[in-house]
Parts: sequence; structure tokens; C-alpha cells
Amino acid sequence: MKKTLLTLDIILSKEIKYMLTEQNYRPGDKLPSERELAAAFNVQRLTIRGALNLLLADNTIIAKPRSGYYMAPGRILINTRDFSMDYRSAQTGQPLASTLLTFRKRRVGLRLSGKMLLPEDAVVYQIDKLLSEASEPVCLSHIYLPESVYPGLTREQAASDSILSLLAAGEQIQIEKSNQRVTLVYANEEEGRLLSLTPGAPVMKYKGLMYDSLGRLAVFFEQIMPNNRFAFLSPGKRPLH
Amino acid sequence: MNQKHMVTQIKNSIQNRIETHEYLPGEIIPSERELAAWYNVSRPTVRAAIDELVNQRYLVRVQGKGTFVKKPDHNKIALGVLNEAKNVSFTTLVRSFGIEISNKLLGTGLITGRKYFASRLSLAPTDTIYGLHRLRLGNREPLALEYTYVPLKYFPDIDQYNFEQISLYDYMDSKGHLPVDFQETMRMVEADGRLKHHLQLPEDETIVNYIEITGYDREGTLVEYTESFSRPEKLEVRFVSQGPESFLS
Repeated sequence: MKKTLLTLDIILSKEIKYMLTEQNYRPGDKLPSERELAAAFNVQRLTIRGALNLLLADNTIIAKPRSGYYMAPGRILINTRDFSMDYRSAQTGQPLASTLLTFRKRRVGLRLSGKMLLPEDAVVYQIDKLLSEASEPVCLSHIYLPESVYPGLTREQAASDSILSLLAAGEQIQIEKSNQRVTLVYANEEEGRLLSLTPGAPVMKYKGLMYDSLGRLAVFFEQIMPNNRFAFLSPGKRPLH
Repeated sequence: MNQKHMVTQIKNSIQNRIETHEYLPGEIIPSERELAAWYNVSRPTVRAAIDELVNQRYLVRVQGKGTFVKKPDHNKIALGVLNEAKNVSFTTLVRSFGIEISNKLLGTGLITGRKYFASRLSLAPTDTIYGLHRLRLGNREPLALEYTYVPLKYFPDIDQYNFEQISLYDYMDSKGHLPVDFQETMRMVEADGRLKHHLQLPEDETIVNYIEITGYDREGTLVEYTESFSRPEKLEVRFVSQGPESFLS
């Protein structure tokens, strides 16, 4: 087999990333200069620049004109196996602040019926929230809960921070199975306005169905988030280290 | 009712018809003139509503023909990040969608003394790692750019094989180290020039799926670390979870 070389800037970008983690760089910290990095890794400045460009693209770092490179804000990690929907800041470990936008009881209707696999006249609670990290809006969340599963849900319960854990405690609902997907969509007017993005900007849509231990649909959610603020983890069968 | 409000109403109405399949993918929607008469509004109001739907990729304008409902990509497949029950390799997964898969080799090489890769594979920095950079194609169209790294000690003769022809997982299986359990993180990132080139991204597509995968064999040995870049238009990322034991301990 013809031996070709692996691309150096890819390898180098990972080495820089490792160094930043090892030396405990925090969001907002300034990176060493290109010259210093080139010396530290014993490569050309041009190679360092190629590697830094890769870190810019995956949003590990950000560039400030005439100043240098800085650590980007850490992404909020969503564990796709943790059904609490209790999202926390990577910086502080604190839950995201949430504002209740809508709480209402409604019929499923045509559009949602196809998504929730429920009859059109089924009744659900709709809970819309805007989640923010350090007063920056990062997620527009729509959650739909069948009334039959959560009879008498109140606005106060809906407004509480971690609705799913609350419901699990109060109503003994245990989520056992979920189907989730992450797609790229383009923000509509409302999403753009609430998330401070231009309409038509690419955003992530995270949506899914969750079922309880009896196989009943317990939650349908659709969340819109800027594509550089979240990451998703599927831990496999192994415990996290 | 003000004009902005009318635009939103008309937009929602058309969007509803698309989502409930009253207007089918690929179907032409009524002309601006017809819609303006139908909703009893001015043509600029209809145009503004259509503009928004074109912006959000629900509709496509075709010069001289009209406005069509955007066709979903027929090749779109679920990047089945993880039906736990099955060990699904990319090749198997894609084949099950009736897509003919092929690979283009971009580079192979040995890596030593690189802390990041050693740590991802739980190796000492002095251990040798084999790197395999491939472009995965489905029906000859680029689907994903994949950088795979494996510990050389488990696959000492790996360099004798051509992974354009044979499946990496078949090879790993033959060595008794087929990955069967995966830990993955997924995010979306900006595509740089190299990704745009390899994935042949259209001008208006700048965001790609980026997935980091660590694979463990039956004994729980870490045998693979892969970085995969793919087009959200082509590959959909899906997570399936089942069972209470899957909660974090």
C-alpha cells in the first residue's frame, strides 16, 4: 500500500487542544501567541496557524482582531441518556436560567399529531421556555406533555427548573426509552428574535420522544439552539469516567 | 391587522400545509397572484411570507418556473448513533439503506508521542497509533470524512490492508477486536476549506456534524477513536436509549 502522510495540522490542532486542557485554560483565557506555540511544538508558524484555524472552526477558541486567540465558552453538554432535561453551564455547573414563555392546555392538532403519534384531539400541556446561560439566551424549548399522563399539571410546576425530575418524583413517572435526533434547521423570525440570531441563521434542532416504563408517550420535546453552544453525549454501555 | 402579522399568518399557513403534506415535497405551490387572491392580501405580503420559507429551506424558488416544496434528501440516513442492541458499522448501516458504499483513502500513518491521541485511546504516549483518514461515499457522493485511530499493538499488520476495498470492522473483527460498545459526542461545527472540498458542500451549507467516537471491544478494551464529519443534509444524527440501567451511575 502506498504510504501517505497524515495531515499535520489536524494532529497538531489536537495537541494544542490537549495542552489547553492539561494546563487548565478556562473560557476567556488568552492563548499563547502563534510564535510561542510554534516554538513550543517545534513547527512553522504557518502550520500553527492551520491548526488554530481548525480550533476556530470547531469553536474551541475564538479570535479577537489585533489581540489574539481566546478560549471559547464551553459547550453545554447534554447527556442523551439523562432524561431530566436539566441542562447545566459548562463553566459554573449551575442549571441554565429559564423563563416560562407559554403554559397552556391544548389539543394536539394536525401538525403535532404526526410528530407525537397521538390522535389530533388528544390534549397536551404545552410548555415553552427560554433557557439562558449568564443572561445569554441559548435554547428555545418546547415541551409537550399528554394530559392523561400528567393530570392537573399546574403553571407553577411547569415553571420549575427541572420539570422532568419533578414529575418523576410527584407522579412516579420513570422515563425508560427515548428516540432523539439532532438536525440542522434555519431559524424562523421568532426563534431568531428570542435567541438573538438573524432569521434564516443555521441552528440546531434537538427533538425527541420519551416513553415511560408502561410504553406510554410521556414527553415530546423540540428545542432550538445556536449550533456552537451545545454538545451531545451518548455514553454507550459504559459508565462515564 | 398589520402587514407583519399577515406575513406571519400566511407563512404559518403554508408551513402547515407543507408539514401536514397537503403540499407534497417537489410539488409546485400556487403562484403569488393566486395566493394573494386566496388570502385576500397584497402580493408583497405573500412574497415576504414566501421569502421567509425560502430562507428556512421549506421552499425553493426555481427561476422562470415557480416556487416548489423542498424535496428531502432521498439519501438521508440516520447516523444510528447507537442502537445499543446492535453493533452497527457505518458500512452495514449505510448498506441497510440500500446505498452502495465506497471509500477513498486520504492518508495513513503512524503516530507516536502525541498526547491527545494517546489519551483518547488510553495509551502511553510512547505507544504507536495507526491513523487512517478516509472519505466515505454513498452512491459515489461524499457522506462523511472520517479520521480513525487504532492502537497498533492490536493490529500489527494493518498497513498491509487496503481499506478502500475491505471493511475496517471486518478486519478488526478478524483480529478479535471488533468494537461493540461506543461512547460518542456530537456537535455541530463550521466547515473549513478542507471539509468543504472533501464533502463537496454547496455554497450555502457551512455547518457540519462532528462526532467523536471511542469504540470498545467485547472485553472492554478501547480499540478505536474516530472523528467523523458529515453533512446534516445527508446524515441525520439519532440517539436511541433504552432501559433504566442506561442512567449514569
